Amino acid sequence: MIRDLAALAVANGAVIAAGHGVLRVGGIRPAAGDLAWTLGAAYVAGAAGVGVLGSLLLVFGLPLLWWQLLLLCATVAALGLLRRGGLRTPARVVTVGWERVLPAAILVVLSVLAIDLAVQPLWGDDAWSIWGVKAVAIVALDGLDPAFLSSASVLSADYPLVVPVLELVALRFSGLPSELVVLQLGLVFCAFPCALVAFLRDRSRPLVLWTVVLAIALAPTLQIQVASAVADVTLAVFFGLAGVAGWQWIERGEGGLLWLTGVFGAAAVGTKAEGAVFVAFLLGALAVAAARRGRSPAGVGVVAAAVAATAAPWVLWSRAHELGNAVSEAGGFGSTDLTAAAERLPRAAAALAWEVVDPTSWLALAAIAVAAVVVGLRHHAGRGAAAYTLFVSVACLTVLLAVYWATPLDFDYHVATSVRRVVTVPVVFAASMAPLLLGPSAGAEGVAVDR
Amino acid sequence: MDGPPAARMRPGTVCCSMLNLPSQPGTTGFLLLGLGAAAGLALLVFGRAHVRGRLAPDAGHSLTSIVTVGLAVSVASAPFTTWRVLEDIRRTAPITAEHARYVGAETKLIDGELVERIAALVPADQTYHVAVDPRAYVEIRESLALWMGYALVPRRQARAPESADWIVTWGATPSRLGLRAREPRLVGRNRLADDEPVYLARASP
Repeated sequence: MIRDLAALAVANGAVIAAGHGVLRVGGIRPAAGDLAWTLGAAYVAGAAGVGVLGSLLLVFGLPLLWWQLLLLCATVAALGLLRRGGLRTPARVVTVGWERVLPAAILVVLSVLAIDLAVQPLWGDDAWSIWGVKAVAIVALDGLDPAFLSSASVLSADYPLVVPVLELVALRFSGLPSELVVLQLGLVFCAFPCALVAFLRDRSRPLVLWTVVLAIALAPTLQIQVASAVADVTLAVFFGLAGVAGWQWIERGEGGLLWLTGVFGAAAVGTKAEGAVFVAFLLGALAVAAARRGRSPAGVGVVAAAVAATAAPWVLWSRAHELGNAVSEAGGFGSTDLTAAAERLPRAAAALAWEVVDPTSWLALAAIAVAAVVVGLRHHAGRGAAAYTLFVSVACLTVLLAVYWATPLDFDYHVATSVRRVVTVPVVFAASMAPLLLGPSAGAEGVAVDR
Repeated sequence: MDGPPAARMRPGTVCCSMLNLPSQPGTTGFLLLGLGAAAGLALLVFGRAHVRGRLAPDAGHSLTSIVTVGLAVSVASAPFTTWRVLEDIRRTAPITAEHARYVGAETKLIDGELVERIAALVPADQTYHVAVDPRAYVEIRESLALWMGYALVPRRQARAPESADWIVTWGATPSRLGLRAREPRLVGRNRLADDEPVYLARASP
């Protein structure tokens, strides 16, 4: 176990280095010792980059051996070093007084969760039947094996590859079978609060930011889902950061933020099937917001094309090998008589609404997100961000409602086994935007630019 | 995944929690909930001015309320939620590496050791088909093929018995399930559900 943990630390050090490359390509050079940026944001950016590029390399025939993963991370890190000028060092907003208890509490909560993840077996049914089986098969068969993936061994074999790639990091570095797959996948969530602080702290009130981040770290449903090694939290992390970076691009116009929107958006698309639809709505909303501010939405179009280009190889490969999923094997969405199934709509809407507000799942998080949207809509300065948050969140929920309406699976079973997980994306997205909606920063030091 | 849960289902075995998260707070949990609630309430009553002081001078009533309530709920819940995770660690950490390999099976009432025996008998480059007695628990009927898909990698699971090299049957012999196969061998009995017999047979040519 200790040897495996040490190997995993090396691997994740490489992921952080790759993340620094991703950030640097976007023009961000974190200050040394700035933990939120150097560890949190860099880790999630590295996981997104490795996940997306690793998926492409798998499709192109590489088995992603441990040294190939290291080489991939080193290459991304080196790409960042190619950018020399125009780098900005993010502002450091100092937390003072009793507020300092909050980041300490967040670190304690996340550390306890990380220990739990380290001892957690891969036991959740989606974790082994959809994601783990793919990662293990890639190791056992030295890459993607169409004969295996098209067999009955894999549930929803056409689901994208970012999660199996992240799990591969554990399997390649600590061997098969690995007890650390759950920890490896969960590190994305453990880094998320730090990443959110890094992205928002110079644009939000520190106390508001710490309050939201503490609520994220404590939310029982997020802790439980992370320990179950399902993909919804990973999707929510990437999508939430794509949304936050995207809106910051609208407000600040820095191209690097649009780059990060693309990186996190591509990772969200590569994590789960519904991620593609969510990201399409997100980018659509950003394009409209840009146009309303007199800015060309062409940049968003370029990002959308790039995101689609990262997803296309796997889609084509899985189609070429006739891979399916639980929905397609049950006849697909087109097989449902939508008129006859209309009675599902109120039931699905009620189930979604309850899961969004359920305090035993979210504690105060969902309430903070809703209140932030309301406050944002009431104030002129925050109205744009609030409308964006509301639109994207409602669009995600509408997509989920449409899925339940048209599902060819047994409706009650489908809702019962998934609704608690799938609302994670809109709630985490809205919560991530909350610090921006609850007022501008007081006392931010601005940004230092190195030319 | 598409079948409705059938009548033969054990309540409480379909889990949506951490592996060993306490299902009831118990004495310690209630104590922590009480302490947390008291601290949260105190923050709500006495902390509002401090919160307002830390927010910018232009902070309005609604912002102060949102932050105060948000912090109060977190303070109220933190001791209990953190204790639950610590309890999960305490109960999960003793699981051995060998046992950890098939804990996922056990959550579905599947004896993972039997599946490991099957893995030792079916060569890595061969295929198998899985069939379950329709009288078995719904968890087993819904999950056995998926668990074997994971646990028997790299062996491929055949959708149809006629295209498989091996037949695995759970709860009944292949012939009782209407499958053609050579003489089955009893791999073992499922310790987690009614001692169901588990058979492995070569498929009939």
